[in-house]
Amino acid sequence: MRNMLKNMLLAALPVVFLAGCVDYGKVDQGRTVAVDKDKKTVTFIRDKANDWQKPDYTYLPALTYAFPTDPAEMGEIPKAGLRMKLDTEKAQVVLYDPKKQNFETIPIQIVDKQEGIDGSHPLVYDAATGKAKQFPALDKDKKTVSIYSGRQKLLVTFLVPEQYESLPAAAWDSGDEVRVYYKEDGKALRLMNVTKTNIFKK
Amino acid sequence: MFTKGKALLAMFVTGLLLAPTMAFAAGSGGAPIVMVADTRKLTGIMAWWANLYNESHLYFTILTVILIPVIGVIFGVLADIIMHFIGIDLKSRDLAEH
Repeated sequence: MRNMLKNMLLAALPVVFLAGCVDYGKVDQGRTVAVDKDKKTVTFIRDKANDWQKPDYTYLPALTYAFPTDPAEMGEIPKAGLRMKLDTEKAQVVLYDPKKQNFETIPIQIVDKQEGIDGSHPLVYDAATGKAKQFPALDKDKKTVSIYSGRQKLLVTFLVPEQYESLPAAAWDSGDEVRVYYKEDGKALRLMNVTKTNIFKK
Repeated sequence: MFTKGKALLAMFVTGLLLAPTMAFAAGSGGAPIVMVADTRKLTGIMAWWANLYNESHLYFTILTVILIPVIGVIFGVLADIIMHFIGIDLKSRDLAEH
């Protein structure tokens, strides 16, 4: 028994040494604000909090990473969005302005707020077609924007200041959460689309 | 009869080997699932282990395959020691009846 254990440990030793000698990379994570499919780059705002439950997208400047050269190391291409934060307590939305390369805090007037709404709720999911309803939704007559946040389980409808009424629905959307493994700044060796990756999906 | 049995066995084994291929073919395609272990908050052995996963799936697999039996043997030896300590002797037996 002792000999067997010794042999097994001896067998594991070279692999442990080999693994110990490897120069490891780093991991970065954030919310996508731009994707360039031609240049094959993704730009995101780093999550300063390192906490997926309470993210803090306030790190500037935005970071741009090239897609991995090996297509097998790339998950689903992330969706870009400019909404960084929806704070219903303070009645404000924080958007990222790509031109100014800075954040913009917009005061909102909340018209309706539904809490505890999960992905299968009739307000956000159409059972007849079996598809999730499209959010953000703009109502041009009422001049309202409706946002659904799956993480916060929140469906909010609000009025925005006049100068922001012309913004397209996509501007109020939140981008996908991405996680990259890299060794050289700006070059992703592996890219995971955290939002779209469901390891439990069959 | 013996030949038929062999043919059936061969068919069964072939079907078993082809099962993953058929499962892949039946899938809806799309982007592959790519995972990156989050090492931002990890330290020590956990960080090393997660970094190894990010660096090379092959190294990670080899090490896991080797470590599982090693850990199994360590637990077995520990259980042996504990049982011996509490008076259970598995190395010899006295037959009560003949």
